[in-house]
Amino acid sequence: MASSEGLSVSTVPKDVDRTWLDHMHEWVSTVDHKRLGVLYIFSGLFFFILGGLEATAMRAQLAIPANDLVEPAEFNRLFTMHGTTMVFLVGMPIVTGFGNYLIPLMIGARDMAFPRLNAWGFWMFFFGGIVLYMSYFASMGLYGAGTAPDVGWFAYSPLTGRAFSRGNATDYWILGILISGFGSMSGAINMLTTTLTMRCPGMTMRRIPLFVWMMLVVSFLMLLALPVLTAAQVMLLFDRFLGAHFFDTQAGGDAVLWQHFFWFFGHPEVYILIVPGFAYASEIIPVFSRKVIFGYVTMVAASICIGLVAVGVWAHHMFTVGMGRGLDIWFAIITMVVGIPTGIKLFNWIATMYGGKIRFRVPMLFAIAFIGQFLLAGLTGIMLSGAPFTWQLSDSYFVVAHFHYVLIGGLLFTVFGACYFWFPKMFGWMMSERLGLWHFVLFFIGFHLTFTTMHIQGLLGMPRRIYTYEPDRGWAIWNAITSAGVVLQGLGVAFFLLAIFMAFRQKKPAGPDPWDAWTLEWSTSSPPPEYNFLSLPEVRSRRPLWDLKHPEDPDWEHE
Amino acid sequence: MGSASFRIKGGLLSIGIAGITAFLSFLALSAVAAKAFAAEVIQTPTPFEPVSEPAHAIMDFGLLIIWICAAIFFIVFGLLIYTIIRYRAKAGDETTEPAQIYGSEQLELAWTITPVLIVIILGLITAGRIVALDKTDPPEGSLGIRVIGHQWWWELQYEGYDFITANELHIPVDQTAFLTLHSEDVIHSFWVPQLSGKTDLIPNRTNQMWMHPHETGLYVGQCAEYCGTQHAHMLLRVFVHTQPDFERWAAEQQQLATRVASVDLGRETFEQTACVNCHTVRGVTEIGQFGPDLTHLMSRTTIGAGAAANNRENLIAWITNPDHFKPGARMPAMKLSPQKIELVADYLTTLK
Amino acid sequence: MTENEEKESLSLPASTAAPLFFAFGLVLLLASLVTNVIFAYVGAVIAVLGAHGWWREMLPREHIEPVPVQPLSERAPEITPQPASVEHLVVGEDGHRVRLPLEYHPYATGLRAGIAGGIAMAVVGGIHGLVAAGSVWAAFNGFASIVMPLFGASPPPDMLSFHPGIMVAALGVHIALSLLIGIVYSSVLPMLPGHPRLWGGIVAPIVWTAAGWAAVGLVTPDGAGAVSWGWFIASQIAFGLVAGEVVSRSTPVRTLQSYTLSGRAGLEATPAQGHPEDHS
Repeated sequence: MASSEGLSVSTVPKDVDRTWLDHMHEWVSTVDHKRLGVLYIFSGLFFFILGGLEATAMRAQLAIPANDLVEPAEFNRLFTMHGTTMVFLVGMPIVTGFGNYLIPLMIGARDMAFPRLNAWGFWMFFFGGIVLYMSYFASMGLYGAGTAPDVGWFAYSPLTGRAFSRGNATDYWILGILISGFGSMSGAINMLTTTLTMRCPGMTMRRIPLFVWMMLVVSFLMLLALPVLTAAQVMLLFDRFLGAHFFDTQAGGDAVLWQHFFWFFGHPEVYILIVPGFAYASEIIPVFSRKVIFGYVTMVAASICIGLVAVGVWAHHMFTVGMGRGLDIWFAIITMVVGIPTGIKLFNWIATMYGGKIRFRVPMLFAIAFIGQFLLAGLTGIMLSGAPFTWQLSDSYFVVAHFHYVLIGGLLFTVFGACYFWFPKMFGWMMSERLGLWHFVLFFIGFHLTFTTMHIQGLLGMPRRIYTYEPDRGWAIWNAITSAGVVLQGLGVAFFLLAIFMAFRQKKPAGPDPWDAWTLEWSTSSPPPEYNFLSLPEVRSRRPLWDLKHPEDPDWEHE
Repeated sequence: MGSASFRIKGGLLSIGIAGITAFLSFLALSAVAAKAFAAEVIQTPTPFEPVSEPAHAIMDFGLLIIWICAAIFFIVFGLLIYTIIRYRAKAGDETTEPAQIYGSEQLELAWTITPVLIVIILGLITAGRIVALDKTDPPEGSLGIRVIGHQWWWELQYEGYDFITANELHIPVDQTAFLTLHSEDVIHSFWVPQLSGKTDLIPNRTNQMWMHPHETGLYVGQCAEYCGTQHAHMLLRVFVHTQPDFERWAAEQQQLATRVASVDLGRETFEQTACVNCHTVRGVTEIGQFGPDLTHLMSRTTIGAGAAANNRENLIAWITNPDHFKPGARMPAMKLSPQKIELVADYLTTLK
Repeated sequence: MTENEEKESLSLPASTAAPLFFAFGLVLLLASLVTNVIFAYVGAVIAVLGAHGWWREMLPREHIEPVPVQPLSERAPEITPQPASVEHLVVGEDGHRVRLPLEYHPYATGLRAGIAGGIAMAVVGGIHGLVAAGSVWAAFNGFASIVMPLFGASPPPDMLSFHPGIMVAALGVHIALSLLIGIVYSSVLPMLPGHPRLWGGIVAPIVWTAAGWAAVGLVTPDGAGAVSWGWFIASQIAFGLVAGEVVSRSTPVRTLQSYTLSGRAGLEATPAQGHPEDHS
């Protein structure tokens, strides 16, 4: 060992001498949190394209009534795969990826607490995604009866039982999620431990950036929610392979039990996906408003509150299963309570911009759009928390519009913002403002065409997950607009990919601190060296770089 | 990156505003188009045109929440728009940083507690509505109907009348219809938006729902919980009749099937093939339980739970291959010769 | 950041493909369920190999490798003070940044205002019940009929007599609402121009009475007639006037920023916390 250690300094040659195989080997054997973060994000983007294509096929089918472009069974596979992909293979890895990349840099650490576990987590997620998509090829090729799973992303029993889902399609769904779930759990353990134990000198819990606080809440939620899902999946495997009857209603199993298990995971999962959106916004908005975040402590408290309340609201997905008035009332009210900390956050972001000097760079545009859209998403959430109203609206397109507003209008917009914001840090090159602008404008208009109109279909009584609808229902025009929006969104994403490609091509250097920002990751070079910081920084306030830039008026005098 | 660039980005606002304007005008246009379409539209099952309790009470409650949320939206969104316009970076701003303000306990307290108050009020209202609309026992003088969900059709058993029909529910106006909901296979959900909210049909469980219509007419709905391949073609039609019309209809349904001698050949074909294993024709063959009761088939307006209009031509197409209208339907193609299929169809059209 | 003596390399965990193999093995193992049992054998072997490789990375001692330090030219330059000046709000002292507001009412004021207002409101409600229905309890039972569904229960059967359980539930909600509104009063009233008594005593109650009047038809279609709006407004104004009075009599306290740095330093005593000496 010792000799090879000594050698490695000199034997690792510069870029020019290395073949693509060397590069490849470097990436697959890496335990560096930055590389793993990049792997997470890019594989997330890869699956994002797949999920987007699935959505496009569905919208093509629904653009006109009584269409027969896509077969019914294939349509059901499409929405199952779309939902599963977007939640487990796009949302989760991108969230984990940014957390992985940024947490050590933000708290002044050289790596994550468990670098090898980190690599294992990534590969589990990645292989999980592969297993899920193998269903398209393998479950028909090897054992017949169907290809991809067609049980919906929340896979209500008894539809998943052997009696109603023959072949192996559903098993691929279970295994894919089970496997990638282990990856997410290990990622959560890693982020939690890193944040709690590896902060640099002076980086107290009251000084870590809001991003890190919110990822802490997310990790906590992952650790709480994912094991429940894993357990439920194992029970379902028992049902399907060993003849257990947990959810097998033909033999006296309980269909509602699955719903409780799934949503006990499924609702916190929504917060696992949206709180990182808050995290990106909480970093982007202050920098481009040129102001310190308004009400840091309140923001932290609100995040923790969201984390706590998030685990107590799951059955608001089940207002129509006949839980009885007591539970309906409890879950309706506790769901409304979520609106309180969320509202605080919205107010605090606006207050941060208030009195600032707002620079409308691309990341900020996405963040501002996020605030407006998330406001609407939250308010439709309040509408849906009124249980009697949900007796009408649940499983309608209103709900579809609501959660796409949360996940696209909320999460995806901030993810795009975060990509433009941290790309210069990750690769050292700037992304084009002009292409970014095109991306933003097209995607923004496309998003609203698709999802703002979608509320109307719901209010007109259109249920979700139908592969076609009658021409005489009055839904046709709205569905046409919804589908038209998809084209613009697709164009927007194409500009995003182009912007990434051009950034690598044009190589416009970013420098260590292109946005004149204040958190620690901007103090090291872009891209950061493998060890992040040559000497561990020592901080005295929440904005260490502000202190250095404004020695006459540093933060630490005021916190 | 320099000073010029975010002056340019100041112009971005106008792009954004232009985009929103374009979008709004498009919406307005499409609303006009929707109106134009609406002329030919027969049935939009919207919860906002209720003809029954509890749909009416739910709409009132929904409108209240929508108005509260709209008020909040306009206040906060207005604040956001004001902020980004008023505090956009202007020329020369890059040399100074704005005043750094950490927060305001007073303000944050105000915008914490005000939502708390709104939640308490909304919670009280919601709880009141839930208690008022939730009925677990049939009210006095109500019409009891057992609804059983199948992949992908509805079985309707009229309590006290002793007959079974499918997919098309007939109820009298100004009387409470009390439905008990079961499922034979997977979870379904009964949803006719103009009459009532939805309630799930869950295997091994019994749910209840009620409706008290005050206008006669035909109201459409469909299964609202994904239940497999043909979830989209599990449609529902509810006919609300006047009391005498309903009694007349029910009396007809109670009759046994009529025997018409001219179609005996078709009846024999029906009885000698696997048809009878699933379908009951009361008074003739009463074995089948798995498919819809066909005793008064021709009294229904659609076949295949709304997949096609009910006429001889469609019946022939349906018997030839159910997948033609409803790919994936549980009924198999019987592989009969075209002549036999015509005979069976002739027989079926006599089941009035 | 302090420059240490120049190092040539730093030690970091060495690259390893062992976790990849371990993951791959586990996946094959699980995938055997839907493919072929051979996958289980191959997967188990790969997983064991991967786990062993991982084990060897950690034990007997962690495998670390030196990473060469970036040449000076690639390093991020030292961060230098910016020429950009920072604006200050004029309310601050000595050109310092501020926490807003400079002074506020303590929470106790808000709580006191809520309690006093809540009592005043209950008194008016009691008088109303006595005058209109001949029973002190009528108004309370009326309120309880709104609150009871919260506990999944139906409204009280007899509106004129005393029901202890119902009274406790109604009282609980009444107290909670009064305290919360009291706190809002104490934080918002001082921000408003003019006289707090006017805003809190007249304007606010009229606004929410109007909102309630508009909403009650939607909420309880049959309830609109049951509310006597004159008395309702009277009880709300009683609350508003009393709570507003309590708030405007209270003396605001100054926020921490008015203290010197050393006074505030006690909040978070960490080694990196500011200078010990006064900064005035």
